[in-house]
Amino acid sequence: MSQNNLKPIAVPAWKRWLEFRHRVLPSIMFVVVLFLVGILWKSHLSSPSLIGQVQVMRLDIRTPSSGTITNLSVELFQKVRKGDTIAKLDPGDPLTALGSQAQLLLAKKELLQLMNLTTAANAFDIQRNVLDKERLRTELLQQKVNLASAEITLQNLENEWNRAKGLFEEKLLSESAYDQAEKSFLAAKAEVNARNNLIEDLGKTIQGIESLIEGSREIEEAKLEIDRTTLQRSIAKLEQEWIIRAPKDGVITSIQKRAGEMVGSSDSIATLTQSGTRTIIAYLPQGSEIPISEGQEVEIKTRSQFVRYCTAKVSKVGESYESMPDQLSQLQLFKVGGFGIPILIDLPDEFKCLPGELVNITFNSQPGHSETGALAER
Amino acid sequence: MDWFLNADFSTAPTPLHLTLLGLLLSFLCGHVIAWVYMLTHTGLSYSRTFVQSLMIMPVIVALVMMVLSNNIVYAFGLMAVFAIVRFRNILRDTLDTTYILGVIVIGMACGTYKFLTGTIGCLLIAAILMYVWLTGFGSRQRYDMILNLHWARDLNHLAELEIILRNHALRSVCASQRSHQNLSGTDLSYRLLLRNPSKMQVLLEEIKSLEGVSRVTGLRAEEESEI
Repeated sequence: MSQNNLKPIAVPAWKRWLEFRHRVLPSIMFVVVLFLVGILWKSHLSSPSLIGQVQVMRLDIRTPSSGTITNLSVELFQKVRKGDTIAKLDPGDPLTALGSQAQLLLAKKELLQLMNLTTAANAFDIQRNVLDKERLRTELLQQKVNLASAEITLQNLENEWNRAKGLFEEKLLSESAYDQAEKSFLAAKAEVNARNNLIEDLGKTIQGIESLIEGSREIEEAKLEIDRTTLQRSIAKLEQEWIIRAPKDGVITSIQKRAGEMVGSSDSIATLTQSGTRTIIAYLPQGSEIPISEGQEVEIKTRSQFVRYCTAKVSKVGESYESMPDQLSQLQLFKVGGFGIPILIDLPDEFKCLPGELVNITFNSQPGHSETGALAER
Repeated sequence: MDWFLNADFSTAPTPLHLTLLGLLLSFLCGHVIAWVYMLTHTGLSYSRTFVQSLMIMPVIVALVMMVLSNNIVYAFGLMAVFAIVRFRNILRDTLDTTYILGVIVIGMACGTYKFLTGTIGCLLIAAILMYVWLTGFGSRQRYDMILNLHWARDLNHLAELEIILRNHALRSVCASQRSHQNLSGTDLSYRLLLRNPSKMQVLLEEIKSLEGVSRVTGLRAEEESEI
C-alpha cells in the first residue's frame, strides 16, 4: 500500500519541548534534587554524639570587707590585666574602718618602735661590750703592774732565801728562819705564776669581746632589716585592702555593684572571665555506649549557620559521674541529661570559637582500641 | 549576604543547610509518594491536582514545623487561621487547599519574624508549583485528540488505519471497540497524542479516504480533560 511508504509527519519544536517537559523533566528534576539532598546530607548531617561547651573560667571579684564602693574603674566587657584596679572601697562600717585604721596605725607604731629600739639595743650592746673590753684592758694593765711588782718581790725573796740557805748550812741561822724564807720565796713564785695566768686569760677575754662586738653588729643589722621588711609588708597589706585588683587577665563579663553602692563583706562586685581558654567540656550521659579514651580524635562542629569544623583530641576523661550544667543537660539529643562523665577536649589553636560557645561533638568509634570497652562498661 | 541569612529573629540561628535539606527532602519524598500514587491508583477518582498536592504538601508541612518550632501558641494560631479560611470558603480542589495552607504558613513565618524561613519557603513552594505547571505533573493518560470512527471492514485490515495513526501520533490507544449484533462493522474510539495537533484535519481527511471508514469524528482534548 501507498500509505506504508508514508513517513511520520514532523514533530514541531514546541511539541518536542512539551513532551520533554512532561516526560523527561520530572525525572531530571528528581535526580537533581536527589543529588542536592545527598550533598547536603553527607556534608552537614552527621548527628552529634554529644554537645559540649567551650570552657569558661569565671572569677568572682569580691570585697574584702563591707563598705561603700567609691570608684568602679572597669566597664562591661573591658579587658583587664592581672593587678589592674577594679574598684576602690570606702569602709562604711565605722567599727570596721576604725578597726582597720587602728591596725594600720598600730603596725606603723610597731615599726617605728622596732626601728628605734632595735637601733638603741644594738648600740647599747655594742657600747657595753666596748666598755667591758676597756675595763678588762685596764684590769689587764693593773695585773701586769702587779705582776711586775710580784716579780721584783720574788727576786728579793729568792735572794733572801739563797742567803738564808748559806747561813743555815753554816749553822748561823735557825731552821725556822730558814723555813720562813723558803716559804716566802715559794709563795711569791706561786703568785707570779698565778698573775701570769690571769693576764693570759684577760688577753683572751679581750680578744673574744672584740670579735663579739664585730659579730653582733652584723647580726643586729640583719635582724633589723628582717623586722623592718615584715612590718612594712603588713602595712602595705593593710593599705591595699581598700583597692580591689584583678586577680587574672581577662574580660569583665558582668558587673553586680556600681560606684556608690553599699557592699557587705565578700560581696561579688564583678565577674571576670578569663581569656584564652581552649578547652571543651562535655558530659557522657549514663547508659551511653560511646567509646571514649584519652587521646582519641573527635570532630568538633560549631552550631552556627555556616558550620566550622575541626578535629580535636580528648585530653581527659573523668572517673565519676558529675552533674551537668543545665544548658548542656537540656540539649543532649539522645539521652535525658542530669549526670555524666566529664570529658575535656583540647581545641587546636587555629579553630575560632568563643568561651561559652556550644559545639557539636562527633566521636569516631575506634573498634579494637585498647580502652574502647573500659569506659562503656564503666 | 548576611542581611538575608540572619533574617530570622529567634533564639538560635536558623541553620540554612538544614532548612534547605528539610524542604528538599520533603519535596523528594512527596515526589516519590505522588509517583507511587500515580502508578498504583485504580478506579475513577483519580485527580491530577490531588497528586500535585501529594508532592507539595510535605514541603508545606515541613515549613509549618520550622515556623512553629515547638511553639504551641503558633500551632494553635495556624489551626485557627486555617479553620477560619476553610469555614468561609468551600475548597473543592485539593490543590486550592494546598495553596491556602501554603500562603497561611508563609504569612505565619513573616508574622513570627522568621523572614529567612518565610522567604525560602515562599520561593521553594512557588518553584514547585511552577514545576508542577511546567511538567503537567500528575497526568497519567496524556492525549490531545479523541478519534471516533465506524470501521465497516474486517478487523484484520485495521493495519491500514494504524499506519496512518502511527504517522500522525506519537502514541495511540484504542479506548473503545464496539460491534453491533444487527449491524455490520465496528465502532472504534482512539486516544491520540498527535505529533502535530495543528494537522488534525489532515489526519481526519486521510482516515476518511480509507475504504470502509465512515462517521469519522475528531475531538480535541486539552489538559483539563483530566482533572
